[in-house]
Amino acid sequence: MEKYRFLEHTADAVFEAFGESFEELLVNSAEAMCSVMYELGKVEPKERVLVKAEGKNKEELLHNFLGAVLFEIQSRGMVFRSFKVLSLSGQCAEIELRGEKIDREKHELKSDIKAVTWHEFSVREEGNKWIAKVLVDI
Amino acid sequence: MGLKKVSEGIWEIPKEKDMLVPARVYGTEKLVNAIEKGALQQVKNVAYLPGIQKYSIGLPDMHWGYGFPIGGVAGIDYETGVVSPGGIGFDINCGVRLVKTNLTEKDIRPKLKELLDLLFGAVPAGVGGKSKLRLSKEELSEALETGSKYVVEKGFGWEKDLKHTEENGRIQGADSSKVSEKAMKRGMPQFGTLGSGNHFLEIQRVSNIYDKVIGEKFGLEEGQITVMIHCGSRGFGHQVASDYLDDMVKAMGKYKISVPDRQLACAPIGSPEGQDYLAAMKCAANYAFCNRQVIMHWVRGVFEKVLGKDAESLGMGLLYDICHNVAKEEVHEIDGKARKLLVHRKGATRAMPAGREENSEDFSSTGHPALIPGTMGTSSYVLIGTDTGLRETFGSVAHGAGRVMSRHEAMRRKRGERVKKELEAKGELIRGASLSGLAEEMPEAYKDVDEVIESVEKAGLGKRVSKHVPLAVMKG
Repeated sequence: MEKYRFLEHTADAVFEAFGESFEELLVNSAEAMCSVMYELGKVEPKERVLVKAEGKNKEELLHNFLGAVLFEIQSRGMVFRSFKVLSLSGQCAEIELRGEKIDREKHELKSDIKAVTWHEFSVREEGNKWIAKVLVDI
Repeated sequence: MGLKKVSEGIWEIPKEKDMLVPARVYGTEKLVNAIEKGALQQVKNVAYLPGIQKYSIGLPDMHWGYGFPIGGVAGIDYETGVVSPGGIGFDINCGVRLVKTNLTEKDIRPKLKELLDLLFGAVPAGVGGKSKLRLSKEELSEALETGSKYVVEKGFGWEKDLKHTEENGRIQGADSSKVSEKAMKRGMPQFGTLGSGNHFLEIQRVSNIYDKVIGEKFGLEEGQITVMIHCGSRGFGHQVASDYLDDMVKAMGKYKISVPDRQLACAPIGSPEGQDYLAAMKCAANYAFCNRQVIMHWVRGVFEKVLGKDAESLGMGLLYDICHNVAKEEVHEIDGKARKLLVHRKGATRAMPAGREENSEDFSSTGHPALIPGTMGTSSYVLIGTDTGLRETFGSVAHGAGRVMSRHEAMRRKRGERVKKELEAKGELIRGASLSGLAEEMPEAYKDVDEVIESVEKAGLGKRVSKHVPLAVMKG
């Protein structure tokens, strides 16, 4: 299954992410968001960071999780390559991020993301497939 | 989308459904026809915000954003209306500053490459660009509440720079206790960095003076070299906006407000949520003033080093520093009466004509300069406000060219290296923190800035003073 795809938007970046489970949706959405900022393939999973996210519903949970990843990138000066959901109960998730400190020579850095917006933000389940739509502000 | 022509360059979308006011869009027929449906829907959505006065406004560079269109203005009644963080944007006080010099192209052409290389070394940019400054939490808190004055007192620039900064570089009422720990953590390593996206630092030449009298008062003349800095409040402002947007999404039910897009989430201006957001927004605005002040200081240092003279002798005074993503408390005339409004400008530049109290002493007889950045490869402009603009758009003009092409489309069309070569063939030097960033920001991805400015002038919203063409650009 396709992990994510980008849709056209004039000023910002909009993507749809997919997953066979909500856990997979969390992971693929994070990969899509990070692919806007850098080339994931160039990052080595050397260090481990844990993030917790919660929300009143699946939309808030995904939104808060992506915001938390963005915060870890900017406050730690790190880039992440792999994302693993350690636990998911109700609307609360604990996720392990693996990556390393930013190295401007090594990592192919692209555009910073300012924020994950609420504009047309959605999470839905169609059959056995989870789909999220996310617009990030560049 | 039901746009009706009101007069030359002015279009209206009449009220429908629960819109509280009509929407007005400014621009030539060509520009208006090119506006995306999504952006027109957004300018209509803004008309649902409680307390909105006169019109929901779309300026000639209007394009599709999230919540508000980019290039959108809403004047909202301070007593009865709401504040919407989405109407300011994530990059609170994204803005522009223009530094003058007494140099001409002849003086710097042989040294242009050296200048650009040293600027690239002096000003951190791009993803993960870390500041050379290390502020403690206490120091950052002080900077947030004191604005540019804080960094000037630490030796970054001149006392007289403050008078040439909107609000003297300090919006009153900033309260750092209203800022989250997360925003502080994101803000500390980025204080004094350019960022990425459309942010840039540019060495320019004044190619045209349209108004000799005002040009002379501003100290601008044809052939003169100027430096433009375009950036904002970095991760600090982005986090403040994100935090409060979440609060407002929650508060909407409490205040029984409903809007067509969650990104327009808002709260009454007088409510605790509204007041807390404004106190934090002002911190972010002050952060951005400091950021541009520090960057300007490093720019002056590079010019001093390369040209072997001090910045004073090089005439490197600040012309002006202005925000284009912010909400301001201003008094405007509504139905013949003066009323206090909270004017939301998202991708819109304030342009107050002469006679308004917002103008500092040096600009009281002319109105302050309204700085409109172009894109790399295209021109930037200095305008002044007009009485018509004050009536029509609460004293606001465009903030740039406005995108017409998505970043992906831009990258599909050209690689960053080709964009760089094409601009260099025109005599413009480019250095970018990332090559993909250069491709995304190619000149063709934007509307024609000359036409945007012409539209502003035709609609009577502002008057051109000068045009600045790029010689060397550093892209974030």
